[in-house]
Amino acid sequence: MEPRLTPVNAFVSLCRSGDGWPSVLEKAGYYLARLEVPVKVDGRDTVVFDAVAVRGDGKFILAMEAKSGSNIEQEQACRLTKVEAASVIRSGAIAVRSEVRPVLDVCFFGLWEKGERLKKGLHQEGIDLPLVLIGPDRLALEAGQFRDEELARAFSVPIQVDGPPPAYLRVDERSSDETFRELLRPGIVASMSRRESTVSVRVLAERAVPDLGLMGLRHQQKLLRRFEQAARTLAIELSDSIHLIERTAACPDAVLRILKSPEDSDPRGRTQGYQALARRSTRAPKEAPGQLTIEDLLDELEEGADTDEAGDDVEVPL
Amino acid sequence: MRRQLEQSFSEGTALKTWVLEVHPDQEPRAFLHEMVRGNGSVEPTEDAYLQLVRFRAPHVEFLVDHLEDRFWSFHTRDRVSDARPLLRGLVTTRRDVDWTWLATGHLESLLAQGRPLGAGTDFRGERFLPDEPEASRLQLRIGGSRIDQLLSSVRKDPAWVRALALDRVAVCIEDEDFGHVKEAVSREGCFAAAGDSLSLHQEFVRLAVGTYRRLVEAIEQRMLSWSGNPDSGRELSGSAMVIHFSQPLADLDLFVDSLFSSREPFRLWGVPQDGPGGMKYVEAVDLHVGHRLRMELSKSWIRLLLDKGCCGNTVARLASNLQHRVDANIRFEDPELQALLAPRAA
Repeated sequence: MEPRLTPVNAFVSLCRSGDGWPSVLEKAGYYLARLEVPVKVDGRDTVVFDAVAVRGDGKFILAMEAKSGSNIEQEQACRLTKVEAASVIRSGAIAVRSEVRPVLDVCFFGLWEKGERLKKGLHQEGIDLPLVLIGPDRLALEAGQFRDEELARAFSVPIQVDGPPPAYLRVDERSSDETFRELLRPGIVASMSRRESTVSVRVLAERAVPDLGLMGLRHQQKLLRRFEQAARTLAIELSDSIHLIERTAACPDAVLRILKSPEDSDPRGRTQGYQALARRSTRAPKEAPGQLTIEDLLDELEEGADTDEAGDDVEVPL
Repeated sequence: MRRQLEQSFSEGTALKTWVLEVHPDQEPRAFLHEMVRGNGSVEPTEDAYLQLVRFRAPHVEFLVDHLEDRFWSFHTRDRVSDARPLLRGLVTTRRDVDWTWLATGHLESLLAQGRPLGAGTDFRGERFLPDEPEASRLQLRIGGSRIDQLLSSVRKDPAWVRALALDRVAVCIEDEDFGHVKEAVSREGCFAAAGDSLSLHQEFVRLAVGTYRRLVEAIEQRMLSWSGNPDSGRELSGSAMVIHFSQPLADLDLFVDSLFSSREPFRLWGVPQDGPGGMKYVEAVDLHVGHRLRMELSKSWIRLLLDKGCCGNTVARLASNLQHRVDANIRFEDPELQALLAPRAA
């Protein structure tokens, strides 16, 4: 996961339980309502919150701006302070479950290593919004304060975490070419394993990014072009296995034709075929032909044994 | 046909029942026809949910009960050594058929259903834990009623507790009204039964599959799914699932190299990418079913992120195989999943 996506993934994870990260927001009564919510300010400007959570009793709304870098833009920060709860509710089509006037908490989530500059930036601009920083082993409220006392209590001390948050979101327009390739590659392998003869790049992109179709058209097109570029690179790298048919006016989707699949081989050849597809990705040196790895030796040992899979012999003691 | 099965239950050889997880894309009879293609036939019976499947080579006859929409029972009186390779061939080559991967906790809970007769363990950690030679393999066959005591004493040794993965159990169930049945169950969902009550056998199978089905369905409820639109934002439901190891792995690199080598029993393909703090990110493919899944791994845990449309069997299979190759005491962080993985402990 690119570190840039850590803040938004952290926010999502704090709204979840059982996913390996502390469920601070969930325990405070919040549920994740929406991601990437565009909200009008003063009827003119638009701000896009990366994530919005709502407290179950409807009394508080938490709107988060993810900061992957270290700069605070003055205009944007000022706009954030002017957003009203009602605008977030309407723009995000959020159902308020009780007849209360919700209070809006706007906050920043940022990376620990950028924390000092973020705090300085907020101070210089006179912005007093909460700033939560995410580090490799903890997250903490480092500036400002939440209006919701439950949240204030929850963030009153640093919260220990075990590694980065789960990568619920793992790609965006700014992701590297390598990220797009590494998202596309398993899709091609999955198609090979299902013996598909052709698969469009759009289908592969939707399998890699299941929310692609819910994004704005312009955003979708940008991501699709990046996947197409990744497909071109992979078609060269795996030229003996796949062939890319570029999109045309008549056929608006680029298509990958699968020329060869490990599934065409016998069981041992099949495993080796898949291993070769992984090796090419890591560009590891090829093993010399005939040279047995420790894995092969273990296979040899197990070949005569009763099973290489689940319990082979079910003649259990009766 | 069900009555014939009932009447013949107490005669001759044991009845073997494999419960396979099936995702048919057509009506059951046509699906079975396609399964035996070129090597047998499918005949209807007077019961709409029972089909007689005859394989030619080797000659094996299955009575297939598809009353449960997803978990089909394949009954046979033919030899396991003939029947199992046929089913294994289907599981290996098809993407819509899989074993029922019972976990150690499932088998242990079945052992508690009656008088224990036997149990077996099968742990082979050499490939996954090469630097931890203290307890790398444990294959036991235990008979008698004091199975629990033996398992408890092995559990007291911290080196061996990680290797105590049940792969089969045998139990005798007696009921005043129904009679008795001796059941042997393997972790791939094969039930060998002998006795005088088919009903008890079927109830035993239903109990085992019911627990397993609940685990698979609970996993599927946690799969990630998206809704919404560009104007109001996107909604995400579902959650990552976390499996914790009982002891940290000594060498994560070796572990992931073996896990994603596309080999049996995991059959996972993936190219590990380095993450912070030595953890790994893997965009993996489950070659059993041809679906992708995301895994994040550290020495202490595995996070799983599956998109809606995947099969919960992928996680159940992974959990069962981890128990037999890496750590019999793995634990889901989510208490509901954990209770379904280890129902007896819960």
